[in-house]
Amino acid sequence: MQIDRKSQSPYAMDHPSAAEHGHCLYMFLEDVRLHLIPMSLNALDDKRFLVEPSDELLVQTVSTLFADPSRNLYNMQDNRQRKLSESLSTFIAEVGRELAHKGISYWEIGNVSDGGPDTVNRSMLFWIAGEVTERLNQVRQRYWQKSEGKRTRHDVILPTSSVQVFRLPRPFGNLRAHRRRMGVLQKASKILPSFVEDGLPRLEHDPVFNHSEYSRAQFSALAKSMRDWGWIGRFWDNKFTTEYYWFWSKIKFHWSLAMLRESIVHDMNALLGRLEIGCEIKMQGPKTAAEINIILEHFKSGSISFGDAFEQASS
Amino acid sequence: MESLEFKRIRLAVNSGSRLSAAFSVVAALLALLKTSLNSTVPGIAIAITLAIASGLSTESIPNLLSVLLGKISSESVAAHDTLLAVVLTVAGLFLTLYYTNFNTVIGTLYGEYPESVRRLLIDEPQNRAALLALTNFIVFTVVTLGFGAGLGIRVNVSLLCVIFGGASIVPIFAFITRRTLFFFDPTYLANSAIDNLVAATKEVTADSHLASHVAVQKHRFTVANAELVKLQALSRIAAEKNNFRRDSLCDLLSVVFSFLPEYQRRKRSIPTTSKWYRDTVRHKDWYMAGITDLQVALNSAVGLITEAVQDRDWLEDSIARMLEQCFERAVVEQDWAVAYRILSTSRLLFESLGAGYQLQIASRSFRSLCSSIQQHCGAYDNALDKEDQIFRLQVIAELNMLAKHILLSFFNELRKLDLTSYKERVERVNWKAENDIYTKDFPSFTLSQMEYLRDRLRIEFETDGDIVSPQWYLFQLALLPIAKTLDSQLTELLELGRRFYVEWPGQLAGIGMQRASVITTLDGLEYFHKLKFHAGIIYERMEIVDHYSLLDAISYPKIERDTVETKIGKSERQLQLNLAKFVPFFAEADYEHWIETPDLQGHVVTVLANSYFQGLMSKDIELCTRVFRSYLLGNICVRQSIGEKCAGLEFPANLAYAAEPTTEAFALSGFAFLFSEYHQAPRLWESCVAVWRNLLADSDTWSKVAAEVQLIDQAKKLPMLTGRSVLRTDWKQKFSRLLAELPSISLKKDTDPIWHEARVRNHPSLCIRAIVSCDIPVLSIHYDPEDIFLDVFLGKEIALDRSDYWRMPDLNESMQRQRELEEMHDFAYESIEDTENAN
Repeated sequence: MQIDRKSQSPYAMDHPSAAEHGHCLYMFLEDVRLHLIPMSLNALDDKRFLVEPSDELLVQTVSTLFADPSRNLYNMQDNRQRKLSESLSTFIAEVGRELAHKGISYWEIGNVSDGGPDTVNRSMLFWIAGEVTERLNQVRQRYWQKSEGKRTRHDVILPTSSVQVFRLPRPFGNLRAHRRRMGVLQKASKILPSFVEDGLPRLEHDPVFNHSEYSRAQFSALAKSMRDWGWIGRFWDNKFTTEYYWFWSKIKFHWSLAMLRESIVHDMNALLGRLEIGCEIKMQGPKTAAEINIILEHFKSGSISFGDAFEQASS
Repeated sequence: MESLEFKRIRLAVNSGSRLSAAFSVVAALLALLKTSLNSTVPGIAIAITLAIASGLSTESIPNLLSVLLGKISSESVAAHDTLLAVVLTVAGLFLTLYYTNFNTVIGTLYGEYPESVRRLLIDEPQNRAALLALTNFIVFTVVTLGFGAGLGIRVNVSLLCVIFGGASIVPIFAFITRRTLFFFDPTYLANSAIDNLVAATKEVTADSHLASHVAVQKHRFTVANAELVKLQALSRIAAEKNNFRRDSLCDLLSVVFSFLPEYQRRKRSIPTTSKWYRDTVRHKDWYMAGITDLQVALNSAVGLITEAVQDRDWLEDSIARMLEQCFERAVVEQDWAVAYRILSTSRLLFESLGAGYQLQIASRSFRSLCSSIQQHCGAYDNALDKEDQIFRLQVIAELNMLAKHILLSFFNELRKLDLTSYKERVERVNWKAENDIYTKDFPSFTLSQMEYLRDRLRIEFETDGDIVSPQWYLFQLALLPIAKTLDSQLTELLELGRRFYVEWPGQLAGIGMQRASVITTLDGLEYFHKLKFHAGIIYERMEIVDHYSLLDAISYPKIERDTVETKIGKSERQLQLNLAKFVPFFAEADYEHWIETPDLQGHVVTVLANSYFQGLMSKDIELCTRVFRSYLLGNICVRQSIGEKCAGLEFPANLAYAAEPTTEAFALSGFAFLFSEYHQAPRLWESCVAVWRNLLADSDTWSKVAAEVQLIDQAKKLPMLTGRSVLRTDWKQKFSRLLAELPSISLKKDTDPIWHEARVRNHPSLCIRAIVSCDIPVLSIHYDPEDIFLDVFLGKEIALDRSDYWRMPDLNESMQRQRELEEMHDFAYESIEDTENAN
């Protein structure tokens, strides 16, 4: 392993800034990060992650596998349920966020020791930063390091057996379509086209430029490209949508998040099987995609109010 | 074109350049030549064609044509040329005469009018067409004559054309000269302005292929605005000139107002964002602005850009203002006959506004009309003759009628609004199509919402490939403007009634127009009565809206029957109180100078009598206290005037009618006593008695009242009833219904078989228990309220000898008997609290 450990922490991911990527993309990723795991999952209430069978050693193994290395959670001795919830929810949120951004997420399976007297080696996932490409049985990581003002390129080859790949579930289309979608999001972030924006400080007004038509075109492009996700932005503006469509999209977005969440958990369980850890992760509490579908049906028939439908879908 | 060229010449001359002046003159001449050639092209072309056709081979054309195109024989050449010259002279003479006539009209009349009015005359389409025909005929004749004299081409058909044309000159000339005479009245030209206005509206409806072009919309707005300016100028001229004010002004207004219903129908297919509607601005809120607006505002540092919105009522508003100006002019001139005619004409306008759900404009216009009267009345009152006084009253009466017309036309239109059919039409809309919503005959006030839906649903279609929002939701949104409009229009109707009928009479009285204020107040009662009756249709429509409302997601305005009726009730109460204030005016009125009007005094007293009775029923002590004094004063006045009228009648009618006012006053006073007992509210009776005591303080009144009592007694013995007595019967029935609702309880004497079934009404008042039977729950026929009043008050006050005229049982004796009966059976009144405790 040639990679700096710090960069392997999920928290070291390159969170795109609004200024760099445009506010639409920034907000989309934030929304995925915020709503993928309901906030209350971090607390000890009726919404929680479970490991079945709930053997103490297995819980610790799973917690360690998905823990954030930088937070040293795997050394936490007490409150195992909290440790499990925190490590899994953080992991899922970060994987989900990266999937929403790039459509794919690569993690290296490594080993760590808890450092105690009876040292036990446990597996742990490390995020593979930089540009990653897959070959036949290998995964190539390319990253740059700065030293003495000079950028140096590094290529690391990893065997596929030591890499766990998370992919977007089928309803969100293939990788190419997703990248195109992100491109549209970035373009739709332009509130005004450059030639108008540049003229504003000089009080130059182009009489032919129509603000409302431009905004409509931007919104239409955004909503069309994000149709599979159901994300139509955050700003409440009834210029372009009815209130119904607004809530319908919001609920659909939560359905998408449920799909994503279930897909990630499914992949995590597949990893557990691959590592021969004899247990399964289960989520208790958050609405499943099927349940949200039922809410959507009620919503369409008008048998549930907009507010209630949204609250139920997002809980 | 010409004027532009002349301006150029003037500029060139002023600049001192001879060369440029010369060029300008040549250019002007060329322009004139071009214009004249343009207008006479047909005449020249026909003449040349015929001349050329005459040279064609006769073998290649049919026989008839060859005859027509054949040349005139050499013997007829002189006759041909002479005929053409004569016709030419006659036509030229007629043309000269026409222009002389035209110039007289322009010189004497139109010289002082604005350019817009002169332009109307010059561009008058029918005269223009006739003149063009005449000019072309002259040109044709000249060219034909020229070909004959110069080239020797004289064709048969040309001669025929000249003969027929020459024969037509006379009727054409008669036609246009006659029309020119009409132009002495400039309002005659309003028709062509209206035609242009109609043409402009036709091109902005969605079915017109050019309607979507902003430039066309703006152009049509400019044209319509220019036509309106012309109409306003015409109306101003008509209002200012004495000779036009009587008939022409009203004709003009009538023509303009008759345009509105058609326009309002057409508005259903004009997009609300069309530039046909006048541009206005809406200011945005910093804390509610969208992200684009904020971005622009913050980056440019010019603040939020105002939003352009269309004023969809600009045309109706302009026409209403035209009416207001004409009316104000007539009022300023104190020409009440004209003011009355203007208002009569404006009925069409106000009905259109009512039917078009534009009560805001109607209400604003109404305020303006009232304000004109208020500002310009009063100062000239003494100078008004009797006829003008009548016309002035008629103006007020007409205004009152107009308000009722607004109300009725609104409700008539509302009845036509079938929500089931509306639902079907909404379901049939093709939201993907740009203009489909304009073909479904939706009311114009819903168009904005339909466009809102269309724009948003098209986004859904673009993004999701189909419309996501379900039909139930779309229909709920489509119902929103209906609910909002009904709410706003109902509020406007209430406000119109309050401002016009409740507040304005006070201002009229302030400028010395008491009769007008009484008329308005009385009409106000009718207005609110109609409003209460017709408001049912609004509640029905709102029930349907609620029925279709699946969720509370869309907040419809709530129209609650109780709230509306309470507001109407408050206004009616205020009107009744206002009427009470006007009664002293009748008492002091100088009847010798009383102009012929409906029996206002009788009407007012009747309304006050009814309102007093209603006040007694509803235990409205304040209303009763304030109304009774005025009522009694009015009643005495009526008694005085009816006495004089009855003197000429035969017996027994004279006696019966003469006794009516006092009988009614006694009856109401008796009801005051009964209701004070019924409601256990002594103040009702005390306030009534106080008024009587005040009246009886004068000893002369005693004898008059005693005489009235005898008169009533005699009238009651007559074998006839007056129509008015039905009113008292109605009061008795209403009171009886209240008594019938009182619970009855058994008298506690179970041991006595006779009294076993005896029951009594459970009421705290002994009087009520005494007068009401348990078996027949009505006020006993032995007890007329007027008799009760005599028994409990008047008899004692003026020391009447009861045996002279009493024909009913003494109420005091009846009460004494009831008391004894109840004591015998140990009766005790059971209050509701007692009954509840016992249970």
